[in-house]
Amino acid sequence: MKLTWIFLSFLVFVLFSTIFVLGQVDIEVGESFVTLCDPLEEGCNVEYTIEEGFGTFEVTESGSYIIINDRPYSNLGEGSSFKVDEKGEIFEAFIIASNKSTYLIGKDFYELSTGQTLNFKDGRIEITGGEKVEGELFSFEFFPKGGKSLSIESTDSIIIDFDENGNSIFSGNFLLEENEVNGLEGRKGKVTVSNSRKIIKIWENTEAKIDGVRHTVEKPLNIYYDSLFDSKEHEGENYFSYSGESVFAGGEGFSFELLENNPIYPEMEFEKEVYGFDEPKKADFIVDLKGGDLKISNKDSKFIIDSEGDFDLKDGMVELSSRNGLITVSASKGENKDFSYDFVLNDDYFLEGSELKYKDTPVRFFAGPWEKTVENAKNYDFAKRNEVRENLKGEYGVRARDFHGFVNDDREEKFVKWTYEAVESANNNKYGVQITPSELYTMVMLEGLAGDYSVLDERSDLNYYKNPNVPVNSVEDVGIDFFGDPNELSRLKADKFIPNDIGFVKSESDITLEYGTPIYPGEFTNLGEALKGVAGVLAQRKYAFTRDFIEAYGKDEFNKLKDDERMFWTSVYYNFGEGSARAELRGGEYYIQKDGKKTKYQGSGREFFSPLERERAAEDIYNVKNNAMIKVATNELIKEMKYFSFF
Amino acid sequence: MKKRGQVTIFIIIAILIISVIALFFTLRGTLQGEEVYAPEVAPIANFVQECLDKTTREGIYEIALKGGYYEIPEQNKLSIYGQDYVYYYDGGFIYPELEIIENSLSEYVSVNLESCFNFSSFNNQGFEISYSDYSIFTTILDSEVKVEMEGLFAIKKDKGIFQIKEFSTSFQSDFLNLIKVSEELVINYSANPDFICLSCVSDISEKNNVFVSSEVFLIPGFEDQIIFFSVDSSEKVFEDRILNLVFVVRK
Repeated sequence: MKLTWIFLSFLVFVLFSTIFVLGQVDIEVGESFVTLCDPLEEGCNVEYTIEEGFGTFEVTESGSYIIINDRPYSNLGEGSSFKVDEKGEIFEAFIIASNKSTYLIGKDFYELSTGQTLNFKDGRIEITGGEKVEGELFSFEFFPKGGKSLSIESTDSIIIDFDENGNSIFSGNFLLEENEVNGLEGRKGKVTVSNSRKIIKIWENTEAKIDGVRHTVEKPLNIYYDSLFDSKEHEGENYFSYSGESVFAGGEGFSFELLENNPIYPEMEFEKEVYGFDEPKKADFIVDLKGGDLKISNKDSKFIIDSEGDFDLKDGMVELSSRNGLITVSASKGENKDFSYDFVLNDDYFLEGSELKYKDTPVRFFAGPWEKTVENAKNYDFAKRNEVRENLKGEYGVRARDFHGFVNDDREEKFVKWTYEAVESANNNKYGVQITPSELYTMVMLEGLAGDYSVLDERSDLNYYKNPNVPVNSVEDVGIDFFGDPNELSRLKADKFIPNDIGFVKSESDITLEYGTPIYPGEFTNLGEALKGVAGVLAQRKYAFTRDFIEAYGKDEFNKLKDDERMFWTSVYYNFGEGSARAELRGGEYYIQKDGKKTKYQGSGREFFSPLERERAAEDIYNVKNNAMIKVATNELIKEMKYFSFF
Repeated sequence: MKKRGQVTIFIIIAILIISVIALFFTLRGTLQGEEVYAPEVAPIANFVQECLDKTTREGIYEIALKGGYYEIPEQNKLSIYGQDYVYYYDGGFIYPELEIIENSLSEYVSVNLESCFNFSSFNNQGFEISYSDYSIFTTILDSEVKVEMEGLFAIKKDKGIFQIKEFSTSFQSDFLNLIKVSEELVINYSANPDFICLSCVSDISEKNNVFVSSEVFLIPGFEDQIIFFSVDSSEKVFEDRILNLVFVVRK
């Protein structure tokens, strides 16, 4: 009986022991054990084989776990597998995370999210898939040994290798915390990350954005973060150092671009809004190393660059190239070339605004002639203006008007650009007659735009400075009373003096002045369209004068004409009407209608272009001549002051 | 006999003195670069001379602004916003030979001189002035520009008729230096088209005692940048205007 009890007790012990052993199964692999989860539990099934000293464990039920070298690997999805050597080290692993979990592979931990896979084979780790964050990206956490975690996000798989120093080498296109790594030309990017979480090497064919600097690397580049970096210790090496308030770079086959929050000029702005322009002006700062060395720092928002050897620098508008000790410059050919950041290079080259100087020799860069116009008007030489104006008064008998104040403000750049574009538009006419920006500017300013309460007067309710696209009245603002005449419009369009789609809407009703003079008002959609209208009329009048002059005096005489006489007669044609102007030019008779009366005049021919005689001020014709002479003098003043000239 | 010999010597000496004085007055104008005209026509001759001087100076200034041309040939012309400039390099060298620049100045003077010939005040004084077609010849030398005018000026007053066949002007000018500097700049540019070697430009400026500035434009519709060079002398060639030679280069 006693024996029976002892036997029964033994059976109960064996039964309970068996149940306990079945709860966590220890599998002997060489000198170590691998513990498997309880196969009786739901969500646990791990099959294994032991062969030639290696244990292979395959998860056949999602949610399983195993413990290898006292380290648990939980939330293993179906299909996960481990190959463990005789010392209990993971030799190969394929992990599918059935839930968010952290896994130790080699010396580092990887926190995978649900569905992500980690494939460890031949010393290389590949992490793929999983739940995506922010739409396209998936992420995992990387815990380098002894360091804090790094968050990595990618749209594609990440491959992790290890160098001889135990640093991790990441390949793929991914975000690593605030940094971004991508391959060039469809390849995968590749960087080495130290245990201290820093990117310390960028491999070939990789673009890496690190701490406000974009590196584009064709040949491997070492990255340093030493505050006491000494470039002499890195000769023959491709290096880039973030060293406090300076950066150092040397070598070849890589470039770097300063971005927002870069270490030397963190507040750098790459876009400038310009009044009236839809798009902001853009700039960038890129250095392409070709074997040289540079140190770049920032003093008072100006880059101080010390360099040796070959490199290319793109500073917005300016491209600078250093080869064999020779520095050459050019306007940028790429994107973002609207403006540049000031710099001093080797205490020899000084870039300030649009001007680069070497010793006393300057070169200026402009993304369009309108930029030069505004800049020149800003730096206006009043003493010269006074002198020129005095000379012009002696020559033409009138005082030249000075309108530079309408083009010397950044807000006016759009207006100036429109002026150039209007000239271009009118010069497309089918007769090949050309007008210049200074001629158009003279005409439009004197015909109303410079007047009180025009769209260029800030006192106006509707003005350009409140809204650059303010509508412009064809009569009150720019003085082309007849522009809305359907015959005039169709003639200007037919001869391509104005574009067919000019933004002009004729008023519903015309105006008839006293004594029957008709006016055909209308509205241009904005100042740019108004300038096209005035430019078209001006070019047409210049054409009419040219035609009549050649007919009367011959081509040879026409070719001898100087600009002032051409401007004079063009103005006469503009203001006087073609018929009267032609008669005056040819010395014929004509009639002027004034106050309801017709008065007969005898034209004086080319002598009409002569200094103004005050004593004839009472004559009706005096006003025409006076207006034309003021335009001549004003145009000459603009030409002398050169703010509408290329040179 | 003795006395007669002494008298002869005195006569010879007197003749020599008179000859020297006459020769001095005859050559004085030439030595000073000025013609001396008969008193009756001197005001008119001087007026024509002034016209020639003024037009020549103006011409140098004007054609320098157009790269040395009076009329820019099509292959050299950059027309932009109604303004014409001169290419010296447009994928290849196209700067003008010195002879072309000389001819350009001749042409400028020839065309513009006549507009200066306003003889009305002389006509009011009883002069009748007529002139034939004239030819202008320019020589640009180191530090000097010479312009000669060949034609026939007939000046009639009362019963006297005077003729002047030639006028000439010459003055110191840095024009040739500017032309040579421009060539040097273009040759330098052609070594690496599309780029400006600023230190090279500076060296060239310093060596030749001129001021060179350049402006680089990106123009809508033009694929390549357009570079304007201006080579400036300190010379005030016309009124208060500085002589500067302007040209354009493009890759």
